[in-house]
Amino acid sequence: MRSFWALFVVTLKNTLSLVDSGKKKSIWTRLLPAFLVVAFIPTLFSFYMMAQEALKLLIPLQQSGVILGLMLTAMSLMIFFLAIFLIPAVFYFSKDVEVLLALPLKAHTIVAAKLAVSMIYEYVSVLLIGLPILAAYVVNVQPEPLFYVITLVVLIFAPLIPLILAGLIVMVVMALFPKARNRDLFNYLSGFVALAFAIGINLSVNSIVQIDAQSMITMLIQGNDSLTGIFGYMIPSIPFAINAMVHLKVLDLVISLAIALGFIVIFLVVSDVVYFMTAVGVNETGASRKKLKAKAYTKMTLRSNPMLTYTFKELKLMIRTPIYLLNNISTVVLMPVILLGSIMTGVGSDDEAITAIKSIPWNDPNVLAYVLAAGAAIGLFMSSLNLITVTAISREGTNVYFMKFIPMSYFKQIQAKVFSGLIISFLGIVFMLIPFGIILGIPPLSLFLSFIAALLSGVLINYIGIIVDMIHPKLVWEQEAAAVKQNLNAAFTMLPAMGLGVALFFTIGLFPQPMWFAFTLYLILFVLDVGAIYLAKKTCKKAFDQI
Amino acid sequence: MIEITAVSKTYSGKVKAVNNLTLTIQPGEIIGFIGPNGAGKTTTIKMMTGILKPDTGVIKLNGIDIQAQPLEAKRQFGYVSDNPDLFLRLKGIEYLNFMADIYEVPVSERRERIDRYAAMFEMTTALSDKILSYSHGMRQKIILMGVLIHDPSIWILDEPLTGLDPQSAYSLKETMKLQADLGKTVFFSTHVLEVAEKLCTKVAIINKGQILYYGTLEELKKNHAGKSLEDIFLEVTSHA
Repeated sequence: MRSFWALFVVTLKNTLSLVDSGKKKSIWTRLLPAFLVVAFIPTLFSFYMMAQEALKLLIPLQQSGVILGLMLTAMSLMIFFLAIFLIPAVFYFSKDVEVLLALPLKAHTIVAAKLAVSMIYEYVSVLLIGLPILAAYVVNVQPEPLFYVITLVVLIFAPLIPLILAGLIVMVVMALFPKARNRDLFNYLSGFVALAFAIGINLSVNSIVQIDAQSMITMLIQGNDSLTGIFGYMIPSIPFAINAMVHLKVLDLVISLAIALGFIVIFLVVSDVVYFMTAVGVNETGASRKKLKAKAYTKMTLRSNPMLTYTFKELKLMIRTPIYLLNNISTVVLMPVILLGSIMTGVGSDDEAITAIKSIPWNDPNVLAYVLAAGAAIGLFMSSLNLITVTAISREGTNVYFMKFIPMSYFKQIQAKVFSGLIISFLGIVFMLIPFGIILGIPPLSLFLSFIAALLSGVLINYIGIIVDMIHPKLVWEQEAAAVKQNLNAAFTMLPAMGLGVALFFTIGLFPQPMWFAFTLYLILFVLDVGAIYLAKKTCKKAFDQI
Repeated sequence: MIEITAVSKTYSGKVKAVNNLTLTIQPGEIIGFIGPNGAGKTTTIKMMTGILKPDTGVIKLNGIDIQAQPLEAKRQFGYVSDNPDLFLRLKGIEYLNFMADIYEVPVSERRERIDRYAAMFEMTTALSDKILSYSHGMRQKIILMGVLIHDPSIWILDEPLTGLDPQSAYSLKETMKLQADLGKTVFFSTHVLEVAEKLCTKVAIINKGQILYYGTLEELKKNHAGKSLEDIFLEVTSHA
């Protein structure tokens, strides 16, 4: 127990020191928490409103516990989803593993300490989902004081079982498939499994709603929170936790904690058998050690323009780093597939919708204004979603010094980074606009004009992204994932891009002629682009002097 | 030629890492920069390469001020950092060609140098693999090759021999001597006194951000007759 505690404290301190480097905080750093709170208010408020509306229906049916069940299930799913990436990173691929393996520690001590630290990571998800829903529950149900105590205990233990389930899956995969013990391969695999899991959840939620409608009605008629029983399929402690929260039954709370304890015991027993076996040699990388063939050597030693070679270096590193590939590039393919998929399934079965789409007068100037706004919004959306430029300096990590000693100006280097982001943004825009254009039957000229609007907004977001990351880069990290996924800079481009994208549609009505809107849109985007490029040039010298 | 004049650097307004440091290194010299941990060696090197900005003072490389004309100054030197974990997901050959492109090395010269240095450092069969698969010493060698490929007139190396096998360390030392004979300037930090003794034309001993001695080892030994190099080093640094 003593070694567990010592290891937990050291690991936690190390994790926290990566967040707070102890350097003097800039105004940006100080403003960031406030900005994030403001940024999350709409999301938290929308969760609150959803819970509020649901409770209005559920309370008369004595099914208010359903909302708590949904809350705990959503939390568990989110935590499980994040844990698929987190567990390999923390348990196997973090830099401390090789040091820990050499210490006289038992496997279950290392695993327990890493599990405890992982739980702390996951409390962000708990708070994000839990706070608004609980607020709505408290306002509408007005529970007794004991509810708060029970809820606090339930929330503290909420991440445990999903984390353990993900941990068990990761350990078993590592044990059964030795080839998975390659960091890059495992990251690719876990990334695609997580994406498949997300799509699977989407589909299964739809099917559950359709297939079990009859049994849900039966349960609703029964009242007394009988619906909460369905949540037990996913995490066995959830029904007991819900009962404890709704009916203030301490015994149910004890049972839910006992179930969690059971999972801990199973996890630690499995870890004693599997962890050392799978963790040893996990950071090794294979190599061929073959001399390059003459043809390949000639091709790989051709001379190229420094800007071009720098841009390709950026793209190569992004494609070859699984975490970056999944986070920065896969969205380009994934988002169009998801959006088009939902439109196809929604519209495909609805004759009225097909007739309505076919009757849209695409050549009408009013409609064209909306097509242009949609193009600009897609440009903003796809460019902010790929996070390439807004993490471009952060991804350099401790190697950022390289940018400072090579004979290439900072502005040229950041332009190369922006170009790499623009290439991916461009692909995302093309993958989005062309299928939409074909499905909806948009004329080529309208599509081309919306494409120009998308490119102009893409340039804007990419330059804003690099400015944000130059001023406030996250350079201290142990795992590549942290440079992208735990980088709050993304909020500075994503949220304004989303807001601006939506606002565009509301401004169309302000113009007496749709053509004026089109002209103003192009002009404003162009001026903003030039302004952003100028600002990037002005910022870079000062920003790099600070790095 | 390297001219460092009255350079100072303070971290967070409190810790004085380098204090009014002045050094002039002539072409053809190999200078060993020696000092205990935290003496200010890496900070000085980072200021010489433009990675850090000095609070006061001027650093000129071949007469070009690194702060006033950074790009021209950066073309003068090749720099090997103490951390060779750079661009690990590029293949060795890709890294070398990337460096050659950045320094605009003509194709025929880059190929000739890749062949020569790959053979010298026994890296020929490793060039097709990603740097991620390299050992610490191999990563050190590929970074060194990335410097040699653009044939700089000034070499700035931070602990370049750490992690190298005896054969590669020997090859590097011979290359340093050869470059100095060709009139180039070599400036490197080290903890190994024996290396400094065998290789350097002069040594600069630094502690607490100040130069305590700058000159030949022969003069230093003459001033501390009968003492070993290790004893002399400990005595000089203890007086800082």
